Amino acid sequence: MHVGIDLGTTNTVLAYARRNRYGIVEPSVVKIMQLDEYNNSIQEELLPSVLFYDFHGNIFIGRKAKYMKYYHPDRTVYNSKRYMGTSATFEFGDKKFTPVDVAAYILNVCKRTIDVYYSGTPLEQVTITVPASFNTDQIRDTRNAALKAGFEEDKIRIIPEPTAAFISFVNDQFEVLGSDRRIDLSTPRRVLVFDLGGGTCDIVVMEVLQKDRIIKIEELAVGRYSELGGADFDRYAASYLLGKFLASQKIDWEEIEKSERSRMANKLMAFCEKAKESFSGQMMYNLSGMKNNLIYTAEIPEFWRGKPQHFSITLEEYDESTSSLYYLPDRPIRTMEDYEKCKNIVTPIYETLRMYDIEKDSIDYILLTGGMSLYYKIKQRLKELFPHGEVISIHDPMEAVAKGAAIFSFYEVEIKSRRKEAHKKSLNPLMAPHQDIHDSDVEIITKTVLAESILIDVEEGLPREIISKNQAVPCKGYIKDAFRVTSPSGVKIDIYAGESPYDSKMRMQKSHIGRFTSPVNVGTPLDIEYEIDENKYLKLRVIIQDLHNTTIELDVESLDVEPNVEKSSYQHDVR
Amino acid sequence: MQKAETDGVALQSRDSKRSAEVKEASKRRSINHRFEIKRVVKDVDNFGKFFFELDVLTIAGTYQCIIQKQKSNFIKNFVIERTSYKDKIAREERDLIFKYLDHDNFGFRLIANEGPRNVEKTRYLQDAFAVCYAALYFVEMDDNKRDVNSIHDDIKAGYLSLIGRSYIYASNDINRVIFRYREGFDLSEDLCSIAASHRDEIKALYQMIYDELERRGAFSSDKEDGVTDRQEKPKIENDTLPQSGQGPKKYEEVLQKKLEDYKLMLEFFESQVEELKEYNSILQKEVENLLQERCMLPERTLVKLFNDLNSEQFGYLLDRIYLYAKGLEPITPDAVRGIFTNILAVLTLHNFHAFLAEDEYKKAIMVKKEELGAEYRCNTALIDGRDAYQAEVIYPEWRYGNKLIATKFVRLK
Repeated sequence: MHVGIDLGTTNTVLAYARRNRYGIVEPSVVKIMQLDEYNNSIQEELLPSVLFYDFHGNIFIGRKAKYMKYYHPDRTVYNSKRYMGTSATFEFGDKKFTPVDVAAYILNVCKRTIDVYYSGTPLEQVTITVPASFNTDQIRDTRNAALKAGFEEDKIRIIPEPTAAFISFVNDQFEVLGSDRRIDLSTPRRVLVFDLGGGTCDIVVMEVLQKDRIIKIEELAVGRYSELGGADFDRYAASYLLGKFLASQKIDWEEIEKSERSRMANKLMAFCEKAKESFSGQMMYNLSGMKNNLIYTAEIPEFWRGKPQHFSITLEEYDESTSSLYYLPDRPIRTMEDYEKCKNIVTPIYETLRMYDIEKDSIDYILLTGGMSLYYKIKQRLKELFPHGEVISIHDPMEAVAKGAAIFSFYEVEIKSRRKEAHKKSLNPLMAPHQDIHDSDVEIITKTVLAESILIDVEEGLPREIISKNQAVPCKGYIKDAFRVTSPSGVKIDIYAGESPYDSKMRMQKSHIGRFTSPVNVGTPLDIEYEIDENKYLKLRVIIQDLHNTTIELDVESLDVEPNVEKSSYQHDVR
Repeated sequence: MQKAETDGVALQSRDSKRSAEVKEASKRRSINHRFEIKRVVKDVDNFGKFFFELDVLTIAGTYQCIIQKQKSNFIKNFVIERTSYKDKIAREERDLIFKYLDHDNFGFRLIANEGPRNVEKTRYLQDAFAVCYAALYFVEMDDNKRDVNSIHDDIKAGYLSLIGRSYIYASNDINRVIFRYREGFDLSEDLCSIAASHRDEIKALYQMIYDELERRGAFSSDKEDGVTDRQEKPKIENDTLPQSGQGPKKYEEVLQKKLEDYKLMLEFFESQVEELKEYNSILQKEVENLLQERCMLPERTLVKLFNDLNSEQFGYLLDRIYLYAKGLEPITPDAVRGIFTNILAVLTLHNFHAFLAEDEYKKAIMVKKEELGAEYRCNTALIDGRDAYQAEVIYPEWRYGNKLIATKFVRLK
């Protein structure tokens, strides 16, 4: 069985791929077993990526947990994917959950579903998707979560979400006659995958070529981790409505209690999310003749001082209030605060192209995926940005990633192993064609690069780059005399991800402590050996040039850094 | 006695080995693609003509591949791009045809071996030769209005006279080809025209295979010269029997061989029946799942609508309506407005949209009698014979997605 899992920030989707009766590789979404609000057992395509820890020590994942978030936000974990790769913890009394634990519980629900539905069918491979911008620590945590969930180590594969979405799209295209194909891969093509989800924006530029039945997908550039998504659009629109409401009621925002503010803001954001959903639906049904008249109206219960409030927003107002998210800021960004205030969809695209020296006009296709990409204006804006490229929307952005991952599992395991067998059986495959390989089969060769440089710091000085950002993986290397020992008892090594040592957006990933088995002279040279596998799983070894100590494996032990997660960060605040 | 038992074991072992080989072979083939094509491909008017065209294009493509030293992948595109059925073949059907070309057709090995010379098995060349012979028959056919039976007999007799009747598979080979095209013999003009458009390639490949078969001494001495000699009636059923003067032992051997062939064919068809049963049960399961899904769909949709209407975000509408309806809670105009607004909001999210511009409400309009019911709903049935009515618009038009589900409502004056 070939499985794909889109381990999403908001929802998780499970899919498997099989060959249908016509011999075509066909992915299907598997309905995941979970409990609903009232403890009925249900099977749904989406598993909300939410964990609820009840008062009896039971753990719930999925729809029930999402429902309980409203009543017990302090016993619920959501958006935990944002904290992968960090040492953050979520504490409920004496119970602690790390982001890895939460991911492991979610993956375990998927595994149990597979075990129940398809018991007896051996699991060949599970491909889990992660944002392309995930760094090595985040990927390691995802892999560890899969191991904790009970998947076998050698059957876990991790690929970027945009690549998975692209594979799903290409697989669909294979089933279409040449003249109906929306993408022509007969010559090398540059494809920019723009994945705009609920909370993150992921960008990958890839060069794709189809030669016979082999598709080569080579990542040329990977955008940096960017917290920009549908929630930002709703927040901007909510901010506009809130301003209007405060002005009409002559209320001073500062005089309202913080908890009340947060509650009002959240309700308005939920209202705006529904408004966006309604506009998207109507635009999709091509009611564009009524574009100027589109309006969403609802009463928000207990909005202000326990009383309901009537709100309306037109499509024009929604677009106007979110317009800054579609354009570059009119002032330069100097600080992280500026960056947060001036979020937009153009900057991450331009930044990615600039970092990798890619000409905008060299992009042939722009593939839109992610829930927010369904909004009509996103496509419109990208068409403006790329007048020479063709903008294509994936028709099932919620499922495409999981399906693509399942297809990847299928090709990776089935085709490659069969080709190897066929090759072993005959040195000249033309003379003895292997009947198990269907000629409609596709071999997918992926080549990926690191999204950010990996930097290391042992002296609290300027971090030193050990692996550059566009390094193709898998790879390994050895750095002689990388650092010198500063303490006789051990060494503390901080690992960072960023564009360069001077990068203002550089993030510290993990802090590792390696203890020497016997004291080492200060100043003793340290060598570093690194290895990154095809899943971008990083192993670091520090080799001490000392007779008594040999190596320290840095992928084994880590020291917790101060958690940078606060409960309040779960709450959306629009002001 | 002991020996007989040993022989019996040996025989059994040989039989079971043979049977395993057949099963393996049929598994490799995995499916009768012609049967599948007939079952799946919908827009083909005549499968005899269709398979004839595929084979002619395969001959032409194979010849070009050999001459231009192309790889075998070329042939599939060559065939699919040139077939007159190109626009009628759906995407999933195309792959099935590719499989047919790969598994049931003859081009691949000729191309892989860069021509007939390097093909190891003569049996394979003989098979391909039967196809080329049938194609050449239609190239050279002068009177294209012959009846089906005479075409059948002509091809068979001509082929057997050429290849020699003592070759035991000759009859099978040509029968198989004829069976494939027979449905199209009614359209012999079309077949001639298909063959004529690739005349040179057919002749050239035919000649290549012919020369090679001759070099290998594959034509029996009893063959007669010329493809054009098609008038001889075939000796059906007896064509593989030994000529007079040969002993009964030889006769038994031939019968034994024939029996084995039939056994093989029987096993092959039995395995196909099993496979079709397997497909059938898969299809049955899929149908069951879809039916189950379909049964669950209204429930899921309604429960979702209920949950939205009764959600916290929209103010527990159904709970409140219940209280108001039961008189447990006094209702206020503000509460009514809020409830109605949110019911409409929920309906909007479920793709129900109402359309009535503010200036349209209570607007006086003239409605023709034929427009009532078709363009407008109205409050009363027509009782007089007027052609047009004074009316005012009072209720909106409703759409589900972009499907009109209720027209505007007018009140007649």
